[in-house]
Amino acid sequence: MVSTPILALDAVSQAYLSRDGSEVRALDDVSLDVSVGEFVAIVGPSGCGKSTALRLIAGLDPITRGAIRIAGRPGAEGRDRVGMVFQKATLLHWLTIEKNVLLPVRVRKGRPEAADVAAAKALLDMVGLGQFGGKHPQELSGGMQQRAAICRALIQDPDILLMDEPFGALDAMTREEMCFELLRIWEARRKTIVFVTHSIPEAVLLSDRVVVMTPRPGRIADIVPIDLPRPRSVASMHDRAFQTATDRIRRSIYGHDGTADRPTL
Amino acid sequence: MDTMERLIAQPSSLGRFWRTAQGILIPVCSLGSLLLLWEGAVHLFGIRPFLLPAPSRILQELVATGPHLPGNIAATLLTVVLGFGTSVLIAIPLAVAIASSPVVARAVYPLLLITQSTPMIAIAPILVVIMGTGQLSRTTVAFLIAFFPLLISTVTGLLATPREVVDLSRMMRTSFFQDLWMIRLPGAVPFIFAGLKVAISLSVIGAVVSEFVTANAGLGYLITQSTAFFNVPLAFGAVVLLSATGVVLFGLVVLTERVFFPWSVENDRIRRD
Repeated sequence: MVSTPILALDAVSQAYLSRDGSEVRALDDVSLDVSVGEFVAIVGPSGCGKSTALRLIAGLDPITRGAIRIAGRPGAEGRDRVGMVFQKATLLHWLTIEKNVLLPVRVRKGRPEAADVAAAKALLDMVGLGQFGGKHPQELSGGMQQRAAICRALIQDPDILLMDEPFGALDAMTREEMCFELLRIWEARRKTIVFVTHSIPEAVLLSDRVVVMTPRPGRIADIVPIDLPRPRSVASMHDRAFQTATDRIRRSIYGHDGTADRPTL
Repeated sequence: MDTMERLIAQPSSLGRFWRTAQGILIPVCSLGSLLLLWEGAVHLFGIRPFLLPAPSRILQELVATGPHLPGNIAATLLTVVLGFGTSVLIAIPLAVAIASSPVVARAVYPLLLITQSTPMIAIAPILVVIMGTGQLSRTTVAFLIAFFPLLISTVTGLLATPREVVDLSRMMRTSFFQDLWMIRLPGAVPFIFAGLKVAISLSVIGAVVSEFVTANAGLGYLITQSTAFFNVPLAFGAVVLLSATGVVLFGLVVLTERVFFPWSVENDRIRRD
């Protein structure tokens, strides 16, 4: 990793004034370099600022102190290289799936060209929604909607894909299925992914590095490299490296390995 | 894919036929028996026509007045359509302004509240003095009554955009008009149509009120004229025509939504299920 990181957070802090006028630090002095094609997961309990970090990278909230650089340029200039997937699919219910995927193109240049339509079809094919392009979102299951949302985030071919608990609203089984689906997409497209989740196993299963954050104020407690061979599968979860990584993450969140009295997930 | 099949699966066509048949049969039967009861009661108790005319007598009177009816219906329709049209043309852009700018919202709301708390029936005679006895004052009354609910529901719809959709729009860097045209307005369509349905009914009320005050034609005018001569059956007839006009206009609004915004209706149904 000698090259300049595709995404760099340099001592980033974010603070806001609460109702009683006191300053609340949502994010405190967070520094992180992400290299091209890397899959980074951010985990932590609620209130640790993991979603805030993602929103700052996306440019949805203002930074109080520090700087974010995307592909070497100040964050504000690199923003069009970033795609985002939210917890809810946020598909527009009056558009077909294909038109939803093409929405960012329509915003940027008015009318999608034949090449854009072909790109949308290819993306939908990739996630197994090939025949559903003409359907409306409400006709699809939650997992299918979220896959379409991933296609929408990829249509502009961004360098970085930001995912804010994208599978948090899905049931446990669909969620597991979506994890492997995402890994497949990542292998195929080699995007840099920053993935926020509150599930430790999910973070370990997916990523190259897990950033562990702790709340009040939101800080990086640990950065855990994941030495699981790829491509990963259900068997990866029985790997010793998987156990070691999850244990280390639990310890840095709870202060112990979490097996005694704390919930494990 | 079994979730897909479950979602797409519809009740059998026979079951659907029964449901539709019931949807038509039950209201027709209840309305029919009510009319029969009315007719029977009037004859049985010998109620005089100027107190409560039988349905048959109302129909008879309507047929006798026949040639004069189209002109009166047209006059009322004109007021309704002009009042409703004006309220749409003003309420929707104003709603956009209110939803987009807190300054506009603060500036406009008190004014709206005051005009809305004032009963329009009280203002109608004053408007006639200001605007004259012509179409302008009638249109204004219909407009003032229909306008407010449409404005409120449109504003509500525009502000109901989910937070994550607002974020999505910002991520795509939409311009103000792109955001409005591609995201906010389509999202507000179910709310706008809820407002339009109220507005069309209120326009009819507004038109009648205005005709009570100033008119030389129209169904409202027909009611004041016929009651002045104790022709109660004709007054009832005019009321029936008014309701029919209201129902047809309401139906047109519903139809417009179904034809041009099928997803708005569909989504409503899904949300209710």
